Amino acid sequence: MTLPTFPLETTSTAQVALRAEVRAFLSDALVDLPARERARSWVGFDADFSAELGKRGWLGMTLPKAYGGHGRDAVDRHIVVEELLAAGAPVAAHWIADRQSAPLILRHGTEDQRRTILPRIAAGTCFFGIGMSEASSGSDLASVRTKAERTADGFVLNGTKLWTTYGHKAHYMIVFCRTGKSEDRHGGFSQVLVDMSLPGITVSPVLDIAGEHHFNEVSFDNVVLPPDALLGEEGGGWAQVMSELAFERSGPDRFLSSYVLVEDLLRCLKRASAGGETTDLGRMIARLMVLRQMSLSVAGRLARGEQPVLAAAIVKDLGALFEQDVPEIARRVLRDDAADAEYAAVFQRILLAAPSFSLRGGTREILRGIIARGLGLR
Amino acid sequence: MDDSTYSMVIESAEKLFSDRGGKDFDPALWAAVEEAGFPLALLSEDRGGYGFCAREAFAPVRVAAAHGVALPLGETLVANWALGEAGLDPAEGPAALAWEGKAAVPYGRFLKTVVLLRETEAGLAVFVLHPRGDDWRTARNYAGEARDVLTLAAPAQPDAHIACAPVVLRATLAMLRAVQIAGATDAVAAMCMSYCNEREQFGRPLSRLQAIQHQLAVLATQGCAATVAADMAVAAFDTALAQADPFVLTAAAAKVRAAEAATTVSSIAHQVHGAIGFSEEYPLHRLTCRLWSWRDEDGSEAQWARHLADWAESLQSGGQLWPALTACDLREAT
Ligand SMILES: Cc1cc2nc3c(=O)[nH]c(=O)nc-3n(C[C@H](O)[C@H](O)[C@H](O)COP(=O)(O)OP(=O)(O)OC[C@H]3O[C@@H](n4cnc5c(N)ncnc54)[C@H](O)[C@@H]3O)c2cc1C
Repeated sequence: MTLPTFPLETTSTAQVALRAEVRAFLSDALVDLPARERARSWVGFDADFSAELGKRGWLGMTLPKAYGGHGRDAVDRHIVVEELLAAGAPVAAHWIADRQSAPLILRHGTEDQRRTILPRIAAGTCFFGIGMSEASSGSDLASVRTKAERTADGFVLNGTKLWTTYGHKAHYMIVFCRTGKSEDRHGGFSQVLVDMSLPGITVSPVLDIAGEHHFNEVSFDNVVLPPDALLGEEGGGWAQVMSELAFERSGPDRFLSSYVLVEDLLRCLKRASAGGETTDLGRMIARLMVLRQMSLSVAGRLARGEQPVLAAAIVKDLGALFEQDVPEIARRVLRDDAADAEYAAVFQRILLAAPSFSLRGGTREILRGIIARGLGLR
Repeated sequence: MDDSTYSMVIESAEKLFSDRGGKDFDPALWAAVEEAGFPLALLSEDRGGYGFCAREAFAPVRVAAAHGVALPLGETLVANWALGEAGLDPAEGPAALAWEGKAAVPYGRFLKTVVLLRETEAGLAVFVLHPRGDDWRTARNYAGEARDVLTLAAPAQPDAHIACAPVVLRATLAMLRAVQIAGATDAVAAMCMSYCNEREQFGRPLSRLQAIQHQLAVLATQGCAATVAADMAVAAFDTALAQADPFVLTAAAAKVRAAEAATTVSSIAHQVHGAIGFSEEYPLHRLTCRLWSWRDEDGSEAQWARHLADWAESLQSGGQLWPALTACDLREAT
């Protein structure tokens, strides 16, 4: 075989039961949440809901029990995440912490960092922000200017991060910054763990095209960090941030962002028994069924301790295309008079979120570059 | 998962089919295929087969497709399986399922046995026919594979019945095309990769140009999707009779998705190859023309897409798609 392989995963009886348990909880917990709110997908924020998930053992699932986690594997986590996203649950509060900050801290953090932070992430009470992008540094992350300078008793952090999702709610931000000079373009970077309550941090909202506030500009003005703010190795930030991105890229959040519209579209189609041309609807379902298998396969490989960077990039590229096609397909299959006010609100929310699906977490072009490298073309 | 049988099957299929691609039925190669036992792989040992799981049994079909081999291998494999389910002995020689009255039979004139299917009140009737040369009106698909029309009428009395819904057999044949598409897209990807690494323009290999890299990345994502689509349908085939609904839906999705991938993959492959890929002498068209044929054979992309759409719309009112989708998940063998 020339192409990368995606070994199929099968589901055990215990996993089927886990899915059913999560589903039953959600149908109860979200009974009053209208579709237009669910349509926010993983940008919907509800701290109480996150804490409830924590109580039920559905956060920090793959973390060892010693750190408040549940010692389960990536496939179990994948199942829970799929159910949350399919239901349009408001998961934003814990999302970044659970998805990428916790595994990063587990792998690179000190024992002290693990003990103080990981149990709170698993409880759904500690939220994180991703401090990678800056105004002049997006895809080209190696051009970041934010700097942490060593002092006698720690670091002083200066610079401004941009597009920081839920920076205004975060307890911590993991900031990718310069800590030294290096001949190597990818050298001299580190990640620092920044307590957002420290003096000198200003979080300013940035609104998106729908006028919504989720991302922010976060500036650091001589923020004094303790020595143990360093996360991982000094100068090893580049490799760390790349493996963090691999976690960020592999999950069901990369193809289910517009799923609430799929269900609402079907609701309207059934109500109207539209009898229109639904070939595109069938095509959409086929793509979704295959994407689910591909993403589950990546989870299976993560569970076996592999780092499927190429496979994850492939799923994210196909997933973003799918998520962005959903509103376009909906336009083609639903007659105007079959839509109601709720559907219109769901549609608008997803239409206006769609451009971000192929930007956040690495743009389409960057992913295709990663895939090309994986294929040995560069 | 124990992969030893699977790897062994792949290895012997590779050995058999490498460099044996072509347009016309190859009797010598068919003899070797029978020798290897591939057409009996799905039958249990007491029926003279090997009792392979579907993943192992369909592996040679994919390898044959990757090499552009002109044989009714998958067709015979499925025909023998259907005969077994009908309580009949496996066919002698190359065989295929055919729906009564339906136009094209793959490799018709080269078949020893046609397993003709008729939908009746009493169920799915099976007729085992042995047509002669003049029972066929010959025709070919875009790739030149024989797709002949049977002019022989079935007798009044069927040889047997199969206890399964007709759609299960239709879905099985659709799955077969998805498997072939998966094999061919992988081979097309290999051709594109090596061509772009070798061919130089502007003083460097095409593969150094970002526009080409991105085209090949898209080709790869589509090829992977086709492969996963075929794999999931094949895995569901193991329980196709016991759990018909999930199998049919999975196979429908596989056909639709693989067909969509076939379209993109063929188009990119011809684009990156330039004029040479458009020439008769260059082997690319053997694969791309098959992709264009297979995506429409045994139920077009549109037909199976509508099957999925109708299913989604028929879920009981208030019922959601999601639980129905997860109900199709592949279950661990118990
Ligand atoms: C909703 C949302 C939430 C986000 N949340 C966060 C967050 O929490 N934390 C954070 O750090 N960042 C976040 N980001 C930022 C995100 O990571 C960046 O948008 C992304 O990395 C791209 O950077 P950019 O926007 O500066 O675009 P650029 O890098 O300027 O790219 C602009 C265009 O040029 C293309 N391009 C760039 N380089 C190349 C190349 N080498 N080859 C070909 N094409 C190229 C890009 O693909 C893109 O199409 C978020 C973004 C969005 C939209």
